[in-house]
Amino acid sequence: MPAVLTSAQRPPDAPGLFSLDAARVGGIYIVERVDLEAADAAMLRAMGLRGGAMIRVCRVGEPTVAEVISGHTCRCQCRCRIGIARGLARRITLKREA
Amino acid sequence: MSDSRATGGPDTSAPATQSQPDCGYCEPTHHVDVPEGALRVAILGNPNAGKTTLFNRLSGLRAKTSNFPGTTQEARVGLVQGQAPGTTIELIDLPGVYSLELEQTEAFVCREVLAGRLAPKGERAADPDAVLIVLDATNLARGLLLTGETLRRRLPTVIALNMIDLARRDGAVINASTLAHELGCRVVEVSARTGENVAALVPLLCAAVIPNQTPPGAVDALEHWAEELYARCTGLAKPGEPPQSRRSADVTDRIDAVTMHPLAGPVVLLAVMAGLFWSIFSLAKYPMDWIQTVFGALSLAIKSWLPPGILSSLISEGVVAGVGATAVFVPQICVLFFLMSLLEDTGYLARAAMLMDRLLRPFGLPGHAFVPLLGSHACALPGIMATRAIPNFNDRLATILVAPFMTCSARLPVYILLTTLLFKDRPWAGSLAFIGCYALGIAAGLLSSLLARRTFLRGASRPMILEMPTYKLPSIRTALLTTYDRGWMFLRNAGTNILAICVVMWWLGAYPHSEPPPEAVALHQQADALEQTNPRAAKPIRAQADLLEAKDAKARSFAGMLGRGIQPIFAPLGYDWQLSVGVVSSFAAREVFVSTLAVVTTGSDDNEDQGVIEQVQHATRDDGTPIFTTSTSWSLLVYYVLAMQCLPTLAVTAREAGGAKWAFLQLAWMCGLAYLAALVVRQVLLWNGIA
Repeated sequence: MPAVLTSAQRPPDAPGLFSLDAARVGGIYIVERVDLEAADAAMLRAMGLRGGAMIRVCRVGEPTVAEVISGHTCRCQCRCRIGIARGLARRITLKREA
Repeated sequence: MSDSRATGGPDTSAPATQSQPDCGYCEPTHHVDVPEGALRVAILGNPNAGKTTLFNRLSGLRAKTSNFPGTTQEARVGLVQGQAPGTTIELIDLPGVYSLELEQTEAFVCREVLAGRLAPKGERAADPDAVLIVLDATNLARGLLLTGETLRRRLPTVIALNMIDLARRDGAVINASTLAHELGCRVVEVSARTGENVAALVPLLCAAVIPNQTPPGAVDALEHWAEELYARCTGLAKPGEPPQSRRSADVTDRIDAVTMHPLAGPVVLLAVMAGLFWSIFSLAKYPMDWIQTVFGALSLAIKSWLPPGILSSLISEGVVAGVGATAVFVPQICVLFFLMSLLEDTGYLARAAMLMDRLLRPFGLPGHAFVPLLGSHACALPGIMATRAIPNFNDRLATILVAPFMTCSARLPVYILLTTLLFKDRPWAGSLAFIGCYALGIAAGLLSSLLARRTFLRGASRPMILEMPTYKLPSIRTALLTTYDRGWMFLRNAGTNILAICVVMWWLGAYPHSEPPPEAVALHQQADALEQTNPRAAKPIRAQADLLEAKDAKARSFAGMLGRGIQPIFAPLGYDWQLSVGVVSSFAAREVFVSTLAVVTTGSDDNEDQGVIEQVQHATRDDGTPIFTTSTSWSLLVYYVLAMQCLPTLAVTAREAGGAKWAFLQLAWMCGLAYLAALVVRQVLLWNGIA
């Protein structure tokens, strides 16, 4: 991933993928991958934001806020809302919910 | 663990645990002694799962705060009366973690405590008798991951399904008996906020058993296990079904639309902070006045009870003054922590930290530094201790080093004196100067941090990842308990240091004893002669004699000698020996400056008296010129904004930063910068013809 992406950019290697900070507010997405340092990725994973997780984007910018609304299989009422610095949000890749 | 284990403690008569009702409020004590044989229960849970609220609900005031040895992680230990008469449960409130396997201090502490290798300071390390896992019922899926990791430790376990009231309100359906069956341990639906069903936990903790289920160890498999378990307990695993309506999430969205708005968010933050400061200074004013009055009266009473001499002077001017100097700030500390606790409980503080992250990061500070820096505006000690919540060491160190630049309450008497002297008939200009002092302190802190991150603490601050809990009504009970805990910790940590320092400063100011000057003796004789015939005329003469005597004694004391000795260093700033004594004596604690100066220049330490400020203003140097010229006053004001004049802060810096070298660096940098800035201010004023 390039270090800096504009909000309109998509990762060039995969059409249909968005970085978290380029997502639509209110949209529901599936996390494709998290390209962060191991410690940050592990922290997000423990908070539920990991590959395959469904999230709702609550806010884009500084900070970006995403709400984890499910894991791989279940649709639940959980609401882990995570504030993420924009620089990190750029390195989280999403795809639209199927 | 069986019931017999629960009731089999050998010593059940420890005073701290006797005759305590379940509420734990009837015998408020902060020094809890854990009796031998008490059942040790570790409380574990995700951040924001309500773990500490449950801890407070269970133990009330029967709790103490320390830290885990070798770490700066705070440890709270509380006592609860067990089910059987005479039995006691020792609760250990572990740091909130998302996973036991993360590479962070919080997770390390949890792992070590669960393994029986670590215990809070002063406690014996041993395997916990049980683990109480606190799950947030409104966020169950995430909590199950931590539950799985904990169950693999094979410890007697009880699950508290907390915030069940909020989950029900949102329409969530959680089958607690299915969850208990799947996990193989007891599950209790509770609300720590309202107290619902909390008492039911006590007998279950006494009879906790090792769960008969062992979740998988691999992370992927554990996540899958947690999701499947969640689905079975909630019955919501229907593919294609949209997420449920979440009322509180919608409310949170609406509030966040304002509080996190790029323009409105900072305005709201400013308004909240302004309200916080207004409350700190206005609400705390009255108890501060009462404390000052009480300690003043106590000092006078001791002087009248005891015969004049060393003991009377030591107790009234050393011990009582020292305790009073610390105690007077307790109301501000308490108001600060009460309001901060309420703000944290509502969920707003996490938003404020995220907002501040954008402003602080260019200066090498993380958003996490916001709360410590805010707290430092009341007192740097709790501010520095609050840096424990900053996960990255360099970020934390940078925050510790610059926190004392924030204007603490102890600087206020100095600001009041100097701005009054500078702008006596222009209160609006005085107010602007006052605000300018705050701004200068903040700017110096931010620029110092930037410099540190470009030199010896190289690297940018780590971008933030922070859970932003849904908004909810705060718990007054939790806020009160936090306030009590923090207030006491402040008194204990700072009071002992400041007391010792004040006694030393008293000794330096009181010794060696010198004979009164001939002028004072002559005035005393004159007053004695008039006492019988005209007592009213004798009074001012005696006061004048006392003033001369006090000034002379201070000048001849060790502090006076020191002041004269270092005066050449401060001469470029315009300070004579009297101001130098004030600066030296206030090195122990800034607030001492005003009282010392009042004694040196007027012979009275009653700085509340406007007449004393008048006298200070007209105090003269040995050559008869005024001490407080415009340039000297400005120079002194800038010096006090920037200088490190607080020994307890240095002691806490050394402890929290992990070495005395950081305290020395802080001292040298702040005092050096203060000296340089004060020198520049004075010289610029002199060049412009302002003496």
